[in-house]
Amino acid sequence: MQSASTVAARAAKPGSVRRVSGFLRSQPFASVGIGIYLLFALVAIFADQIATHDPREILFSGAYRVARYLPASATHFLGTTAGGRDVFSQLVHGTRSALTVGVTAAFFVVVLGTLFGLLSGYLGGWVDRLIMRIADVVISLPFLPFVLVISALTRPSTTTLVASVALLLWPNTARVIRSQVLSLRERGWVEAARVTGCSPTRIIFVHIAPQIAPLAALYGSIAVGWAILTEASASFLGFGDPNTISWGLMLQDAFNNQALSRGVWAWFIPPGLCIVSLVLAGFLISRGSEKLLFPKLGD
Amino acid sequence: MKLWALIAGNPAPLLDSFSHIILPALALGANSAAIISRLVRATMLEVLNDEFIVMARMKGLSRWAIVMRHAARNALLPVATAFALGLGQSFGGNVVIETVFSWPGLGRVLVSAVQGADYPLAQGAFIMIAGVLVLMNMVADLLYAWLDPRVSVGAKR
Repeated sequence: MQSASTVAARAAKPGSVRRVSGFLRSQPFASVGIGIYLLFALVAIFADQIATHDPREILFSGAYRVARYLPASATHFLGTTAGGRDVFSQLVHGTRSALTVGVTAAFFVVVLGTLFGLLSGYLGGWVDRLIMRIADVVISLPFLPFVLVISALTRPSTTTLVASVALLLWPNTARVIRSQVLSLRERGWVEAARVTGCSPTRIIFVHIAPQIAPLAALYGSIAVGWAILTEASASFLGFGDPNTISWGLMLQDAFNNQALSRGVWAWFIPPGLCIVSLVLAGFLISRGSEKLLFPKLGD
Repeated sequence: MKLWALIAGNPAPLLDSFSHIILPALALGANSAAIISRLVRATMLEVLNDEFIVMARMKGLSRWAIVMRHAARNALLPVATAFALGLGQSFGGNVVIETVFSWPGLGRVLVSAVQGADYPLAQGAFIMIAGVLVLMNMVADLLYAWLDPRVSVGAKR
């Protein structure tokens, strides 16, 4: 808690605005990524205002005929689905579930990964061995098949998806943070903190945790992309939450109704592009922060 | 079947199956290709700063010879590892691609078994996928030790 408040206090210092703008100018890739995120976040927040129809409403075109496979027009920006639903509204509402899954899963990945990485790296000994062996086991699990099996055994829902992504992705973060902590714990100021009688808990969370925050953020932005991709794949295969409108569910609907051979491009190209650009944004941000953390990789 | 047709002097079925493998293979390989190119870039940058590269430059070798004969050989070491890892992952991780291209693979067996609540089959498929993944991870480690004599397996530290 204390570490969070110190980070917030540091960010609120005068001149931080200039620092942020300087970062954006020096990291064009990262700022494009942040821009894409902000755009999607705005769409998700104002989804009800942007969407032209209720995404679940079955539309009719005169004489009680379902308005299926309508081409793109002024009333339906991207046409309608086989079930007579507005594609554009589904796309807009799909942003919500994509961002929800991505951000919550990334949050839990970062929390679990950082916590286990810190404990493993600082405490060492049997704690380290236990956590790292568990991490080895988790890393050797096949990713998507595991998510499918978990969501099949439980009721398919967004919660189980987020939980299984978080359970599978934390070891990567934990390993990197552990190796960073191994070097940090030998530094002079950690020694000084120990000498002045700080408890291990205080050293870990007050003195070491803020130092590895940028690294955790980097792995968080990668995890967002992974979570969104996993959610899309699982929904596409029919293991997603059937009551939530998501891009993966739209793709599944389009695939099952042979949208490709019917040539209904406006139905499945937009959700695909949305998934790609959101995942790409995460990787762009991670590339930018990678350059800050490991300047040697830059050109 | 397809190979028998080739022996019988009819290459058409084999060529036909090649044309059907192009798109799934591209879709499956694009991901690993991107990862491997980032990896090679990172190791290349590292290797090009090494002393033996400076030495080769002092010998007056051309830039091409330095990059291909001296640097690339060392930078390609992690590629072997990444290749083995990617092979293991694509074994079970291509569930979506198998579905899209209606390719009757192990991933689709798993999906249909889970959807049909055929748990013994799902277990078998999952264990098979996990087993290959673990095996390829081990192959990757061993391959790395075999290719790079500086790394040794099971040595005491």
